[in-house]
Amino acid sequence: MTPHADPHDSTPRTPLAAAVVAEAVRRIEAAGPLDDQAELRQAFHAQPTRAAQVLARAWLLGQRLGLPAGLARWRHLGGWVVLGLAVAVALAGLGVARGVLAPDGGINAVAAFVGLLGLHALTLLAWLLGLAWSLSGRGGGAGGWSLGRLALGLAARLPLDRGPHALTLLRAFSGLVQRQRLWPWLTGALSHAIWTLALALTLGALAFGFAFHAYRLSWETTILSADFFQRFVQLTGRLPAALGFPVPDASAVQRVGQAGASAGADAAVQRAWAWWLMGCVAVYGVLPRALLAALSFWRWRAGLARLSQVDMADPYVHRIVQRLDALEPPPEVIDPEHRPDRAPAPPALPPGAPGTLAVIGFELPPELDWPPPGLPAASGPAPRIAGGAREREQALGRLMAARPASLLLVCHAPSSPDRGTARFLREAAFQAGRSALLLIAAQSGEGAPVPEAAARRWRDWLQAEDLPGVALLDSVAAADDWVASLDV
Amino acid sequence: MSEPALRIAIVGHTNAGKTSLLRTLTRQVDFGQVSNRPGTTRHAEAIDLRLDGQVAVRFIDTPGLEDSVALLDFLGTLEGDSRPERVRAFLRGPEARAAFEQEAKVLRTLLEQADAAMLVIDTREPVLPKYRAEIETLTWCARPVMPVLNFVRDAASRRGDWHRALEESNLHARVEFDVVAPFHGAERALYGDLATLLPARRQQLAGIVDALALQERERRQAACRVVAAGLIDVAAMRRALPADDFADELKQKAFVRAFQDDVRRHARRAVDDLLAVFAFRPDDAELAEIPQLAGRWEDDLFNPEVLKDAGKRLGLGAVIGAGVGAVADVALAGLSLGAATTLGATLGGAASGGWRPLWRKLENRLHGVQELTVEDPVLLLLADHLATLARALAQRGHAAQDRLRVRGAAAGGGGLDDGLRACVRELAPARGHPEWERGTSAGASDADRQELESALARRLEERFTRDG
Repeated sequence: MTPHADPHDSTPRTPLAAAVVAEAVRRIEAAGPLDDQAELRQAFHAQPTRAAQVLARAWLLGQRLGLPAGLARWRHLGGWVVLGLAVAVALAGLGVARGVLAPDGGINAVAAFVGLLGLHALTLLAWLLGLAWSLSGRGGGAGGWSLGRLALGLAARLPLDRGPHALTLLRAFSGLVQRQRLWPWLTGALSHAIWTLALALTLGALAFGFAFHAYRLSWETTILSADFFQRFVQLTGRLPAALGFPVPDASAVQRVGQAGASAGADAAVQRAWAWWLMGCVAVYGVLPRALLAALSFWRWRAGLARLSQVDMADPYVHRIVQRLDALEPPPEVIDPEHRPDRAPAPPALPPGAPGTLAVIGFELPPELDWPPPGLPAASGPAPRIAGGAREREQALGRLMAARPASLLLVCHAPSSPDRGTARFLREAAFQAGRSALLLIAAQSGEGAPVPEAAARRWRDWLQAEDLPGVALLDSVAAADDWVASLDV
Repeated sequence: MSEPALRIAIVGHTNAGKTSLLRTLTRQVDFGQVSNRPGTTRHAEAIDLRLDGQVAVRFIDTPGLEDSVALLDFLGTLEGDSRPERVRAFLRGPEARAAFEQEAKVLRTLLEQADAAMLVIDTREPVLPKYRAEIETLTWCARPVMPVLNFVRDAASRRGDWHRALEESNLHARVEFDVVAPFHGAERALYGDLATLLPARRQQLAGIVDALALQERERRQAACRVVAAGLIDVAAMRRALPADDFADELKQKAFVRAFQDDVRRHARRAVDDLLAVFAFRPDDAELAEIPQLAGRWEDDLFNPEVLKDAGKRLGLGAVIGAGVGAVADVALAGLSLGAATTLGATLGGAASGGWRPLWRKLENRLHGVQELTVEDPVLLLLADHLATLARALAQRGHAAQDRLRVRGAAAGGGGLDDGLRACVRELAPARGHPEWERGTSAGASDADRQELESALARRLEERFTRDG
């Protein structure tokens, strides 16, 4: 590892480079996360969307690890390898052309055709098979053997000046390309471009030779018939002829064959033969390779757009997105709590008639029986109120008139106590000698106490609401005891 | 989204679940304070729903309207040409800072800072006058109010009463949303129905619905990939035991135990990753009651009885209990020591993974080295548990503190395993690639492993969407 290889790495951030670096960082992080606090923050502030932020984070981390530089080096190397291969293939092409253009001036036209286009046709076939194989969804990998594949393999294996993460980068690149099924197009773009160059050079050499030297084109055979050559020339010449290349006619083919190279056939026939050969190289060699190179390049460019998309359903990306989310400003309190000072409780009134008990059911659900069985009998009526303003007033008015020694307020245990309840309890308790809150619930059987959790909630609430003088009773039996406790 | 973010006040009675609703809607487990204690939230707090980093909705959590009866009474005594004017007069007055401080926060938020309100209602409560007063007070602010009926799945829910009460208050739109265990699609309905109250924002809300659906799908896919990766890890596990150690019973036992621990480690890693995918914390105490998180099931993975059962469900009934080697397997609790099944799997794997595994296998045979791998029933159990957990987490609200309905592994019966059985079968190539196990070598990022992982994840997702 070379920490801080070059923090201000100026390698251009192309979509492909970004995707490869992101994939490499991901592979490095498979062994354990990198410390990315600073990078995460920087990416968060620099980019608008999560996908862009994820890529930016990876790029920043990659810069710290020197990945873009490694990628650039690798790319540079790749460029040289492609160039070297192109030169080699071009030399081979020239060699083929020179081989065809023999110094003695005699050319076997049909053998020259096979020599010029044979290897090209075989490799093209291999590439097409590889493409079909890869597009059928099987393998998905190599895309067959091709010059492009060779170029990439060579660039990967050259031991020149490797960075610490060269292998990771390479695997990231190939993994990425494979996942998008872009291998055939990448290797295709490279190999077709090289072949186009080579065949164009061959064509140039042929044109030069035919332009400035006198050649005698003929055909020879031991086992084939003249008709074969006639048909061959006719068939192969059809496409070039459509593009305006002259093609030797049937009689010319017969004549050249019968007379042999020595006959010194007329110049027009020789010219037609030369044009036919060049036309074939152009139409069956340069043209398809150039078209396929363009197609591959176009598919590769289109694939690049997919390559730079971030897979948001990836658990790894998901985790980073969550950490980016965590960088968002936390929820903000926009209206903070001000607890008003509670008004001091007014002085207690003198207690009312001893031994009297008032019972009020407060905000009870309708299905509860009222009064609950076993409840101590009240001295007067025991109202049950739902909590409306008028009911509250009436109940308070009655309390004020009766001034009971004890007040029992019955509430529904599972409900949440609130400040409305507190207000009523406070006002009611003020009118009584002592007060208690009895909790009942539909579920708890007759006389059984309500669940402890509910009781605790109400108890805590009494404390918080500053009502400690109010006793909390969790069962009707407890209420009995509480009422009796004063009588004794 | 160029339009300003939607602002929605979350209002409701104390303890109705306002903060819980926000946790679930924003998927933030640690927002605010959720508890049974009444009046837990006492301030107004803004929390943003961000979609891809952009604020889409700004929710404002408010305290409960606790003293609504007295407040409505008080509002009635105030001067003003219209009801909102009276509310404004109240907010300017001294009581807004004294007796009704908490209520004033709610009304102020609604009047000044929100486009609409979501009124959270605990439907287990009877429709008491205080709730009617609360609803009426809210309508005085002249803002659209969307009632959100909470706890509708509770046995004590009185949703019928509430429907009536809301209609009587002229609130005809409503949405049922259990904040703890939201219905599938409830979130979509929530925003969709909000659009009827805020027609000007319809397009914006539709955008939110789409973005949320996309996020949901991404979460589901991520979860399936986590499960797939974990299964591949376990399927790829292979440990060699030298012949001498194999003969020594103590050493053999220790070896098997270490192997089982490694399986559990992978299982736990998958569980942690699943929790992360659904934005739950691994140490969430509230999650402890999910059987898949309690850890006990990890022991079940090697329980011979459970394995036998799983084997039957896999259609391996004839193998388990019949063949001598297979009996030994059950005794070894789902781990096969060089059994024929493993060799077969290796052969199956060899076709797609080159011939090296078979060659190594034969070499080991010659040297008497035994190899330990995991049997299919273990994989089935693991797949079942992880898939069940994933589904449970996907459906769980981020406010859940109790009550989680997980359809147990056994409860689903045999039909549940149809998809999983195919998953286990699909894992066969992994057996031929010990280097695919994460944490042991660099082969974990192998392209073929990723291919298998995505294929498996797709299969799991199909099953996920079908059952979910």
